Amino acid sequence: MKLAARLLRAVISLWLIVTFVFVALRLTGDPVIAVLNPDDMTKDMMDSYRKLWGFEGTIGEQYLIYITNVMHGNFGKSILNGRDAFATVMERLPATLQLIGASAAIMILIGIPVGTWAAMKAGSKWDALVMSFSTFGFAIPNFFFGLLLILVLSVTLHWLPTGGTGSPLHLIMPVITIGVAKAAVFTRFVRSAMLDALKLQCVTSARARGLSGARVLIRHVFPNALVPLATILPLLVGGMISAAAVVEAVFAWPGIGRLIVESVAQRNLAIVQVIIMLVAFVMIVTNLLVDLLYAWLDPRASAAAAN
Amino acid sequence: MLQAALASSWRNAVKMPLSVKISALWLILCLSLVGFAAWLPIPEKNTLDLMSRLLPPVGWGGGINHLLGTDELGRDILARLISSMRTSLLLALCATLISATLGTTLGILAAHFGGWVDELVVGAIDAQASLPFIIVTLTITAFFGSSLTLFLIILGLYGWERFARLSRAMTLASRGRGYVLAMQTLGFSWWRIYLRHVLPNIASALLVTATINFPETILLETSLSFLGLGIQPPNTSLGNMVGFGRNYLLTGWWMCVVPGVTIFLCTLAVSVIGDWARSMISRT
Repeated sequence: MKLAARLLRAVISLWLIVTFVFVALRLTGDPVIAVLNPDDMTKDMMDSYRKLWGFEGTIGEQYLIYITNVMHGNFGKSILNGRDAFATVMERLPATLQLIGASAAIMILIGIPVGTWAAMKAGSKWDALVMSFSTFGFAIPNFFFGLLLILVLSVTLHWLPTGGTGSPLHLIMPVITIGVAKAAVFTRFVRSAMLDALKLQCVTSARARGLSGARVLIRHVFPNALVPLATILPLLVGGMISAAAVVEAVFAWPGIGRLIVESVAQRNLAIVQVIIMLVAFVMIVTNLLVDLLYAWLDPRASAAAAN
Repeated sequence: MLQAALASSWRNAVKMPLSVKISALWLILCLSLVGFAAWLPIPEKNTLDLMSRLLPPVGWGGGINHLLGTDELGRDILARLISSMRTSLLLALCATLISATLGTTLGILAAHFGGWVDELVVGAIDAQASLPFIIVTLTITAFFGSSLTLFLIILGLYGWERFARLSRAMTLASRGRGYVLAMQTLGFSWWRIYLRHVLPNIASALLVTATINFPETILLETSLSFLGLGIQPPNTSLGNMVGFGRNYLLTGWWMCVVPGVTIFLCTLAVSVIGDWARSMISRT
């Protein structure tokens, strides 16, 4: 029952997004002119496209045809080269996944040890230092951080290429830019989750039983801190697409982030609508999985909801 | 009572940590530069001086005429920086006010009416929180083009869900409180109770939320302007200054470092003050 309600809510969210895009497309005027380039087309061709994409008839009929097309992965063609929009986006997806995956790894590798350490030393000057760095990481604009890295590592020291793709070296700076900034946010979550877990009675009693510090940490603190962390982590990783849009543009990284920025500048609406729907789909599914994960990790949550 | 409040806020001001004092001083400096720009002895921001192109700032070989150096057309960077600060800070301030007003109103309405109104607002909060905002912004810009008004509206939508969530929760919590029950019993209208009694009680929490929202709005605005999709020339924002300076990393690093550092220091200062304010509130 609970699962059905959550699935229904996810489907409604998806439907809202598709409807939003449909309304926005209609508000921009003639969708065929907006998506295609009228200079290259005769009137007959445009009419045939109108018919093909269902831009004829009443608004209700158009809406139904639009939804059918979306479900079939038919999002129209890029105005730049006339290629299928969906295929164009899918081609650029692996580069972004690579970037986000590597950044997520950096975020976790920094966030968990540093956050745990800060929580164990809570109130000390080390804790204050970690928190200050976290504030720094939160405040620095990622495009400027990326440019500083280029300035130091590429322009001055000539160690790394300024941008583009082709070797693992190209990945280093974009990954540092996203990974370190997100690690600043994640460290705070880890610290506060650990602080909460350290206050639990089972931890106090484990200490009282004389267990070693490391054992208490691994057997009692980590499992309790894991629940809030496991639920926030997928959302943080999903949210990296925002950072990727900016950082890919800085480093000329050929992913969907740079694609959406270019497409917005060219008003290449077919591409933009594929990307927004793709991102919305991924985020909605992620949210659904996080809900289920949470219920599975912490049976108290679903028990409380059932009462 | 007012005197007591003033005295206690003065005592708090003296007790502020050094980092908070420095942050406050930095913000005061920025605001005075923006406010008194017209009376400062600096060149006009659009004056071209092709003889003194790409001059470095003072301390890196530059002269006193151009404290922060010049750009590729010999325009004074300090003058451009002040004008950009005005745009970026003003936009972030207006956007935060819009977002706070919208979010708080929706939150209180949701808490008051409950039922399907509540469902609708909570659903919208969830949807907004789960979508990466910059992608939504890019999509809206693609559909409707970029104009200053639309840009301000988009920025004003940023973070409304945070205010809504907070005000909804706090309004729900305040309904059981004695002072609200007393007002209800005395027959005061709901809007009066919310406006005069509930709102002042949640104001400090909303203000702290604003100190989180404000720096994030600056980051969003400068990111979009950096990408060339926000503030358009001839207007300048801290973001599009970094964007243009990017092409001169080899010959004039200060063109992008000066505005970049300024963004960083402004967001940092507001965050530091916000963190401190939050710790003060949670202590009492």
